[in-house]
Amino acid sequence: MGQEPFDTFYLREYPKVVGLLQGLLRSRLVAEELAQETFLVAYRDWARVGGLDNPRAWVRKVALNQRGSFLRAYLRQQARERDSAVQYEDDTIKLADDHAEVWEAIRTLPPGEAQAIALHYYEDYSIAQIAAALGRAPGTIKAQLHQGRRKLARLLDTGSEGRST
Amino acid sequence: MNRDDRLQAADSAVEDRLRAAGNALREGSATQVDAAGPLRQILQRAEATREPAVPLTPSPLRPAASLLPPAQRLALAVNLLLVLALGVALVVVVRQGGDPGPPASPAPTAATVTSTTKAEVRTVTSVPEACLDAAELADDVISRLNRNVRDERLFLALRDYTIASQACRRAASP
Repeated sequence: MGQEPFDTFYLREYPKVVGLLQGLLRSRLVAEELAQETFLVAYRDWARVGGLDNPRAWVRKVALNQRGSFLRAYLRQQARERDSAVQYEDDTIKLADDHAEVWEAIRTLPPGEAQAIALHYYEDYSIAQIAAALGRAPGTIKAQLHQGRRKLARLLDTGSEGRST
Repeated sequence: MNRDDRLQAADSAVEDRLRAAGNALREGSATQVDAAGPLRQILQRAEATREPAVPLTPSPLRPAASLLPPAQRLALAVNLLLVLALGVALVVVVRQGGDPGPPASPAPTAATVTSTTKAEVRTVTSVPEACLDAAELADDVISRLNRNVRDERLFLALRDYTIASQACRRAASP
């Protein structure tokens, strides 16, 4: 089977990667910036990346691990939201309030748990696929998903869990 | 309803909300994110880095800076200022390491290692994390100015640089 052309791959995957990053970072500008950097890296090395078993997982791994810039952007974004009275209302993909509240809660989780939750529920990745994309052990991902869900249940006050603690 | 039942109900409810929120964001990104514009930028940036450097053969009568267009001259000036500011911050940090402080409270950002076998003092300096962030953001700003990308991301990068450089100065202050 021949290698998929870069632009076909890009046009299909770019919005999804922006969505994933926006879910984790809130800022669409930062999400688009990191996504562009990711696809630039992929484009420059497309002869190799396009021939990998799973270029989709590769771009997600690069997007989430860009030399620490992801974590810094994540922390900066959190600090900005905490410290600033200015909210970037237009700087997001528009979601219904209920869904936006869920993503707000996900962003308060530790980055590892938030990434695992986002890949599982946004990308429909299995535990094995998340482990491969993030370069972590499947057991770690399973634990992070479990802990993340428990924390979200409390944060979102779903069922009686939030009230019982 | 016992505690296990409550946990199971909460898990089930959060699972449903996560699935719905994931689907909503997936649909939102598919309909609201424009991929064509960034593709052009990516291709342009890839081409820009592939091209050989423009051969500059300035006349000896003309300074090199005057060959640059105004935007690049501004970028050059900003670059020099950023490098100067970082240099000052590093000098402050190094000086702190060199100053003989009270024995019970050494400077937090620098450590002095003294060898007893040789009459030689070696200063090992650790740069505060905020300064590393400032340097990285400065690189980002410089890169954007060099590419003449003057959009909101430049504004955000400049603002983040300002915050990081202030934190760097605070971290480097005694």
